[in-house]
Amino acid sequence: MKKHKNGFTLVELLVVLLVAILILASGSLILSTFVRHYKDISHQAETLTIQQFVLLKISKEIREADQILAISPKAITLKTGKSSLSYDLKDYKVRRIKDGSSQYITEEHQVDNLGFDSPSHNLVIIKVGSFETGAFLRYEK
Amino acid sequence: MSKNKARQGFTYIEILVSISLLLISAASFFYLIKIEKLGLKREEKFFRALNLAQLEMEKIRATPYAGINGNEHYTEKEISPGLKEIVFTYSFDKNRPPIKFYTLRNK
Repeated sequence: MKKHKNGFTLVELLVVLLVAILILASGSLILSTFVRHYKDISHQAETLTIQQFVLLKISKEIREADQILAISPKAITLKTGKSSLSYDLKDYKVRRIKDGSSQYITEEHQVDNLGFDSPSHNLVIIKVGSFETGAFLRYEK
Repeated sequence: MSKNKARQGFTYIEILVSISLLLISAASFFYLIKIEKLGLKREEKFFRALNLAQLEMEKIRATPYAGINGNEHYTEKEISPGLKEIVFTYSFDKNRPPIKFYTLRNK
């Protein structure tokens, strides 16, 4: 009889379960919020790195180009040696066309705007995402 | 004995301590997120400044030798005839050192 009285009652068990569920729920909520924010931040950091990479790559190739064949606010075509090279934005990806064969250098939506401007004939201003830089054609022919 | 047993359980202090521990651990997670966000903003600002500094530098390179006479961004000094030393400084944040570029330019 005494042994029987030592166990849990149903109410106690229910209360314990309820408390455990509350603690687990709040814990998982905190953890999932953290993971979501963390993913968001790492995505932003990746986008930033890729935009910087695209900007550096394009400005390097413009600097080393011989001539600008065509420039518009959204695209540029260069001539380097015997090959032609152009950059534009297609299907939300940055497209690089070298001698007719095209290649995408970003994934979709990593770069949402690509802009070019030429304040003088041998200086190009490049805009990628929120970044902006310039390139001067050193070996202009 | 049974009276004693009924008294066993959590005291208010114990509950308060456990809740505050839980809160502290949750807060540390969110503090970490806040620090990461600040770091990201800092990095973005630095990248932007670096790119703009590069743009100004390219503008100097596009300028003919005789036209390099210094402005609010750079100072020039003729170190030997036909050779100029250009020191370019770009301040972007009052709490951080400015970006500095050195370059030489000949006639």
